[in-house]
Amino acid sequence: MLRYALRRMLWSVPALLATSFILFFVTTLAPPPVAEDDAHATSPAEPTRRARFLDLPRFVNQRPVDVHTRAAAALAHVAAGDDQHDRAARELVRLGGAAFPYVLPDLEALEPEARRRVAIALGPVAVRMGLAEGLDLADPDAATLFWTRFWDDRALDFTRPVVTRAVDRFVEHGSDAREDDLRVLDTFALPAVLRALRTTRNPATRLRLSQIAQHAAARGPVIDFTSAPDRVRREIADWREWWFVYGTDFVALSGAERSIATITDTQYGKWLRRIANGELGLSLLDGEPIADKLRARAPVTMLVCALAMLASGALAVPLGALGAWRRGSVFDVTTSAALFLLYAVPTFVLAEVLLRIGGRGTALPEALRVTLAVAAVSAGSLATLSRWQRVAILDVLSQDFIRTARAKGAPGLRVLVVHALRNALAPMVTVMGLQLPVLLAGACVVEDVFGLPGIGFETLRALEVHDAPWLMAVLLPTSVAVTLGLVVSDVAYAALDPQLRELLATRQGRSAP
Amino acid sequence: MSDERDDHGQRDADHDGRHDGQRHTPLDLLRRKSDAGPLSLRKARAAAAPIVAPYVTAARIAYSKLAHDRSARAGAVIIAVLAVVALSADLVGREGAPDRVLLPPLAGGHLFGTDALGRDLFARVVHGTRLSLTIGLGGTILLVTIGVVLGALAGFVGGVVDGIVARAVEALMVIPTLLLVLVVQALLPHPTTTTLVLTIALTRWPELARLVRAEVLRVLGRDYVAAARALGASPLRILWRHIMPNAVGPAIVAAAFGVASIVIIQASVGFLRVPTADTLASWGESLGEARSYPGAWWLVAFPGAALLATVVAFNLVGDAARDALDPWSPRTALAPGSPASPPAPASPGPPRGSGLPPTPRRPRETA
Repeated sequence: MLRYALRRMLWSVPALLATSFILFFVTTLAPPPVAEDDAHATSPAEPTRRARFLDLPRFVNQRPVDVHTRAAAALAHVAAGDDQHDRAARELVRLGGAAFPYVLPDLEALEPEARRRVAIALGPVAVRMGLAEGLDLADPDAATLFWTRFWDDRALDFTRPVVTRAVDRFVEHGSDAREDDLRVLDTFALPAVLRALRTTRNPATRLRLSQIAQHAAARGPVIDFTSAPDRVRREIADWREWWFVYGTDFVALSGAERSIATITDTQYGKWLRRIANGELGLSLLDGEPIADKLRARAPVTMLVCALAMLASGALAVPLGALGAWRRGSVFDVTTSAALFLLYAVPTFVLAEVLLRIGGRGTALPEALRVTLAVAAVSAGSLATLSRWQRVAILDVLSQDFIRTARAKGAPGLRVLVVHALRNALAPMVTVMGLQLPVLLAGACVVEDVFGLPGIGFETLRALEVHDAPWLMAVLLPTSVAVTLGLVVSDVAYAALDPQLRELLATRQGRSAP
Repeated sequence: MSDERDDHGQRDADHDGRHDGQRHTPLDLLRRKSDAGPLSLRKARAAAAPIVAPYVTAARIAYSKLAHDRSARAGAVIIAVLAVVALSADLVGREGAPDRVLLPPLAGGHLFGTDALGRDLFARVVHGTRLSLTIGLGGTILLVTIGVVLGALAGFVGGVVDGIVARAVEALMVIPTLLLVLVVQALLPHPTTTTLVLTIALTRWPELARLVRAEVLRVLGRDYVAAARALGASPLRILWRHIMPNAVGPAIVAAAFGVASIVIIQASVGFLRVPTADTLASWGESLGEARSYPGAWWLVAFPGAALLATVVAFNLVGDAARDALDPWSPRTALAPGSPASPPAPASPGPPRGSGLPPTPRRPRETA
């Protein structure tokens, strides 16, 4: 039994991957932002492209780009002084301290002329670090001398452990000297600074860390300690989002990381990792973090779905059982016909009709709206479930042990409830599991009709503005939830059915034809 | 009647018309000759007729059951009416110039009244019928093709192919179809009715594929497949002649339910006003408009009734077709004798199909 449960769970992993594949494919359907001729930092659509990882290959990245490759490319252009010099210089400044380990040691090896060009190009970085006071960095020789000396003095600071310790110490006690240390490290300190920004609880430290990050990255919000917790969370989410997109620009990949990056540093990898981390991104509709919105909206949808599941299950079991018990009776025929009709009515038509009956225009109390929504959603699955229940009971009723039970004189109701119903419930578990996606889709439509602020309501707003992040944030967790629900219901079914239990214990895979 | 007969029955459906009731080979005639005097074709035929039992194929049984099923006939009549309406949409539902808005039914010569833009609702409903049926049928043909091909391949080839199809099936079955369709339509740069149909078909095939696969696996172990193999039939021939006919039943049932569910999804998409590039009249759209006008009951009633009728009709036919194609369900006049007590199929759990569950076979007392 345990083995079956484990195997069932393991098999759901490739299925989940397949689901994510399909959904990823759906995201790629969205039209790319303004088409442009080149993929360089100067084109206006570049930020949008990068935010959606369109600069990355879809599934396999044979040459993952990190700070090393970026710095080397920019350095080559600046040193050569070719027509891309200006753009490369800007890129060097943007990369800042993170690129130093790949730029400054190479300075010596360059031609004097090239060395001067590089030194001048790096000028703004020195200004940013706060080291340029009293120096004329526009003078090629002074700049070259400055950078050579700088690297001689500080090379040892530009290692990961040193940076981590510097940040830790700053978080511990934020003295000005320690802040200056971090400023000199520039973008090299960004990974550690942003990590500290996420974990620290101290508003003052948060403010100063965000200032340092903003200074180095030349972007992003400063998290003021006077702002509301809501806003703080949004601003931290903004930093996380930025780091998720641009993080690889400031981090060098080691050998193992590089090979992992061939898979993770792709559109699909980024997309999947983002969702697996719960980093659902920002809604395009209002710029709110999607996780927050989901948390706020989910209860309504979950309430409607759970109530609908309960209502349809609680009604379907007795209806189906009684129909089967008195097969062919007036009760059976009328309920069958009514349920057949109910099955055919689309959820939204039923919702619309219920709304008109409940009194449209007048503001209905929330409780009534929820009740009507539950009624509309559960109608369809009520019909399906009770039909299945009827079939299951009929199947059981025709078996020998029922005849035995009757023959030994068990009262009719006891035969139905104890003997038949118990055995017929097992297959129902699977059927109920499969009703989940139906209920969820129904809830979305119904929420819109009754104006309940749930996930579905929000989704329909999102559809209008093509809010892809939100849509994915709805579809993927839903699918995952349903997959897990199916695993649970399959295992529960196997546990409930003694025959199947035995079969699973003895089965040796698929019998050969 | 043996199992083999049942399974082969559908394959022989095409011979049926020619040999009905009088299948005789030269060998038969020769045999007759020995005990019936000199050879005469007419005599031989007369002698043979009462001896050879009428050859009844499963397809004939199914058809006869279907034809005697009252609900199936009702469904077929509704479908026929809808089809006629759809075909003559341009004749019947001529949309004149916009009249006053929101006229109630029968006012100003509008049978169903007018909608919020003053358009004749009757014409809208009629054209909606055409759209719904076209989409339903188109999507279903696609869905059935994909489902049958992939299901048969998965069952017949097995191994890696089976694994891939099984994962795809599982992956697609957990995604709420309506949501996926909505999202795809919203994200596509140019959503049209065609993309709608494609999306629905590409996400709804798994249920049928599962059924077909199960059927193929069931049949693969049968003696007649082994016999065909022993006779040197190629795998393709075995698949086509001996296995695929068994998939016809599930395919027909899935097709009937498929039309119903596609029509519902299409109407839901229209209702939720997810924009499509082509502006075709659809029931869902009319129903969606009705939301802004609580007083105009006719905006809900007529398109809603048309939608309901379509869905009910196809469900009725699908339901009846499933009963009719179930070899264990009771037979009607045509079938000679009573079926042998069937072996209980060891099916762990109900099949995960769409639509309604099958009507269970009657208790064995009838056998």
